[in-house]
Amino acid sequence: MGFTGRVLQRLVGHCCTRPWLTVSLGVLLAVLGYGYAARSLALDTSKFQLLPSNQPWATLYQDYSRDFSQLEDIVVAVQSPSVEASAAYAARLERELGVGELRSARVTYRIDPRHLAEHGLLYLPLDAVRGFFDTLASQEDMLTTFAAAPSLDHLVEGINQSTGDLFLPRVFGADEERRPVDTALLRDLLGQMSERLDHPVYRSPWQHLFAGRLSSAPDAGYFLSEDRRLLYVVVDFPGSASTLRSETEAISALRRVITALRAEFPAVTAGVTGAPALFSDELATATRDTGAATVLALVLTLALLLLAFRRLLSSALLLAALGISLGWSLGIVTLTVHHLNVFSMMFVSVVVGIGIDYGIYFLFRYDEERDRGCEPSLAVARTAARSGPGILLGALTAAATFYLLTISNFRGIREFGFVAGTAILLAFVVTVTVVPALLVLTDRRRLVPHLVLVSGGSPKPAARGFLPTLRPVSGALLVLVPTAIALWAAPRVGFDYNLLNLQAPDAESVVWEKKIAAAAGRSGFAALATAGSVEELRAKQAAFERLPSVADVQSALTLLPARQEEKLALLGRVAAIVDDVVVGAPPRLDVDALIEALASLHRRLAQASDPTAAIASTLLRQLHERDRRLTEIALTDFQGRLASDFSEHWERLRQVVRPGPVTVAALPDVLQRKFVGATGRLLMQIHSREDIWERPGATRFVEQLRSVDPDVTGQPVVAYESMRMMERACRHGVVYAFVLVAGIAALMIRRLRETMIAMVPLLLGTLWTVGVMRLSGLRFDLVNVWALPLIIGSAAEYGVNMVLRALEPRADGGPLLPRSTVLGVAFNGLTTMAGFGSLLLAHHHGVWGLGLLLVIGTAVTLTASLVVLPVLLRLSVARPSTVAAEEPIVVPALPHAS
Amino acid sequence: MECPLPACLGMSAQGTTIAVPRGMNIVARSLTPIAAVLLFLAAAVPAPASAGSPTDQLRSRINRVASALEDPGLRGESNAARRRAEIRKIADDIFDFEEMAKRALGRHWEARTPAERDEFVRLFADLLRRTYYGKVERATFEKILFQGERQQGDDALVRTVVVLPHGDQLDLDYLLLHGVGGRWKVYDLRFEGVSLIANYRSQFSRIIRTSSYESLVARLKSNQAEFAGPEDAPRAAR
Repeated sequence: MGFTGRVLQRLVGHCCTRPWLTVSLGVLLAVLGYGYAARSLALDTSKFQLLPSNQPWATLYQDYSRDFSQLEDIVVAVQSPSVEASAAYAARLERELGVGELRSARVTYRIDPRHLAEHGLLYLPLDAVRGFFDTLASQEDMLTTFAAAPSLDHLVEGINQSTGDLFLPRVFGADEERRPVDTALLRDLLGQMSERLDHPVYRSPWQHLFAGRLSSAPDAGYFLSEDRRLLYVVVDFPGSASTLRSETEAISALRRVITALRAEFPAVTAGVTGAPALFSDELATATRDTGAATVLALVLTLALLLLAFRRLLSSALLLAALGISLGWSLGIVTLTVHHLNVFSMMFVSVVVGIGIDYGIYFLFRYDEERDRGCEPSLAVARTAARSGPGILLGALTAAATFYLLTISNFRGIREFGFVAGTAILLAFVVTVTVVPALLVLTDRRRLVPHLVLVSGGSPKPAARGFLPTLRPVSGALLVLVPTAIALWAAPRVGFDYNLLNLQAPDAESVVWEKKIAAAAGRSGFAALATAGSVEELRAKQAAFERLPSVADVQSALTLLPARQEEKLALLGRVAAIVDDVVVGAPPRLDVDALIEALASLHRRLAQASDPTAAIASTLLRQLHERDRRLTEIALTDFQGRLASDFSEHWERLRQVVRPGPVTVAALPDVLQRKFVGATGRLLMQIHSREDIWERPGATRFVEQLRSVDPDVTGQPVVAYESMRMMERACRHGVVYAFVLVAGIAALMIRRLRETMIAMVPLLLGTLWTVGVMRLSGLRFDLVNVWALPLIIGSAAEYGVNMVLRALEPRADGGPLLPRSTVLGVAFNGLTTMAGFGSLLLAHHHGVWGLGLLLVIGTAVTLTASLVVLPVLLRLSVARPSTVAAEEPIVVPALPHAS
Repeated sequence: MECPLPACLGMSAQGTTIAVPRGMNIVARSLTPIAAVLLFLAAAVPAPASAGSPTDQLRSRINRVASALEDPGLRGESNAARRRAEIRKIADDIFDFEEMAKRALGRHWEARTPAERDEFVRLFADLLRRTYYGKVERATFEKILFQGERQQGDDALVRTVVVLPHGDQLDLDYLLLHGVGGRWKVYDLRFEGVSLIANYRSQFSRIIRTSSYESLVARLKSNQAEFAGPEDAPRAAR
């Protein structure tokens, strides 16, 4: 028995001297731990705290989220057959939110139409403004004449003159540009006059002149997707701090309102998404899944314990010990870290899956000692002395693997490593303090020792042996074939960088995020950059837009009209024309003048074989044939409407033809909040043309962006850098874990060959795990990438315990591998698989994937431990030349007892 | 490049078709010399009117042009310069160039200085002369039918119909202003309701609006220099 064994034996002895006290203290500390945690343990849900604090892209990202209040919005995406229906729904949603529990919400889904109306002409392309100016300049004479006395005959005469210009000399030669005559206005006008004689009809013909430049399209300013199938409603809460809790409550309330509106808008579907909703849904899913998984893990663990020990009391005892260790862990976490995060909250599953192992080992060895006839107090002492070091080694290797995570750049991972490692060590402490005390208190069995016939001597109590192992040749084949396959497959395992794939595919926010991405033809996640001034913004944005991987850049410039100076100069000239056109009252209708003008026009059109001639001819015939009085009444009304319509158009033109320049400061509030920070910085959102969820696309995008601005950040950059760091950390983590485990094992085992043998199941298990991944098409991702170090940490104990047990002196000539050790390893593997396998219930795809990989890893490592290791041990472990009988083994004369 | 003919008045010097609506070319070609002639010649259809009426005065001066064209002493290529000078002298009496220029410039006239106005009148008159005077000699038409006249104060409208060789007809209205000494002078013509001066006004206004008045004057001068004929040589040299 080595030093470690002696220390543990002494510790157990002390604890079992007053077992009630030990148990009471243990329970008390657990209760205190639970109470303290319930009172003071917080859940840190800030995703920024999960990011590395020493990386500029992470600190800047957090900085921007503070500076730009609407960097990440809660968005309600509305889908319907038409923009009008979506707009009606949005208006209704806004009203409903305004009277409900989200009264403080600010709902935005459109830029103020007044802003667009005032500056609409500036938003036209320069060519369009120039064309409009040209049209007005060319038609000024006609407009002036008509406007002064807006009558039908003046209008027809004016159109006659315009079309007739073709027949008259150009001042400066045949190469002077001849604009083709647009007869749309004429056709519309003549057609309506003809209709008007029979029906009271009026449709504004002035659209042909003003071409919609005076008023915005009905759906202008709405936040629509590229294909206009989705309307985005942004919901924020000015003046309130954004916390996960407040956002989650708001999201839930929003979804309730949306559900309530379904009956009123059957053709409209809507859903809540945006970064806060994605994070909230992910956390909710993970929390729900974790809760269910924990319950399932406990149930399966209990079932396995019952199967292993066939005693409810012992099984319950181990679970109770588990509960005590959890209480201690929560108390320590609350005292030291003060909170859990989305990673470290998984430590419960770790404790259930791994922490139970130590109790199982202890109990199996305890039962073996009891089987030999030891009393409980002696049995626990011998268990501590003989199996304690192995159990300690398992705990140390597992804890060390988790503590390795504390060197990670990611704070969330660091905390997880510390919490999980500490919880494992505490589970071990409970195993060697409270569990022995509980056993001494509760085990009242009177057992008949299991006797083994020893040659040359009397039967001696000894451990029951393990099942026969494979022959070396069979064993070699069983190892070599899968290993060869795994060696081929391992380098081909890919990495899935798509964070969306980690989430529950049916989560509302994920479903709508994918719809948004499909509608936009690109991901909704944008890289972020800033500028200190409009000039810098222009330069940077232009540089970004030139990059091949950039689809588009949105900033305040998007909403500043391009080439404003040129347009304003042109509009100044338009204003001069507008000012000179004075709109008078329509004179009395002169039907004769109208007929004369029409006749003249008709002659020319007929000579030119223009199709409008037929319309003019029809109208002329009607004017000649119809009752003059009725004709006058009908056309007087039409003339009046035409004149007032023109007057309104002209007045609207007068109001919009002198817009002030649009500056950043003059942008509507909703856009200022999005693109202008509290510090005055101007934000750019850069969308990728590449698929940023695949490594090559993400690499190209980020590298190109950094050629313009090394400080670019945002979701794509964070995801890219995080994945790189996680990948690197994982690769290093696997190596470090191996080295650490091997080092600790070497220190405990103190024999090089046996240490290497102990590492074999670990090596094979890890390799085979990666091979299985490749063959089954599984890829690493941000979550399951941690499976390998976890497998190494949790599975290290299998080989180590078996090797240590094989090296134990066997004074009684008992088996190389006692059944208790093998069963201990087997059931530990099974409970670990049960614990991690419960994660397969998870809706969160990342957690599901982690559970699957852990189950696979544990299974293959266990297989290697139970199949390969015994063969190696049989071939290589020397029987000790001396027999050390440290404690006399008493064969009690006990009655038969259960 | 030779000064192009008005589109409705026929072919360009090179014989290429100027962009007009299909079908108009027939009429346009026929109109080539006709419009010019119509500016000056009334058919030998006597019209009942008093000697001082707009119609009479117009016809009288136009007859003088016709006489000049038929004068044996002015016929032939050798007398071309003298003949054109004589036509010009008579024709200048028919038109009120200042009124035409003023109406052609429209609202932009008020903003011009007296010197600018004088210059513009001169340039515009030259433009009209270049455009129409030279075509007088090639005029062909059947007859002109006077449809009557209408007076309102100092304004008069003389309506005619021109019968073309193939039977087509063309409405032509003369707008006249009563000036100093009881003389009626033409300030606008309307071909099928399309005003000549309004046409120029539209073009000039567009140039002024899109460029500037100075640009318009420069282009008129450039056009003048470009199309200056032998009779204009001394002026062009100035």
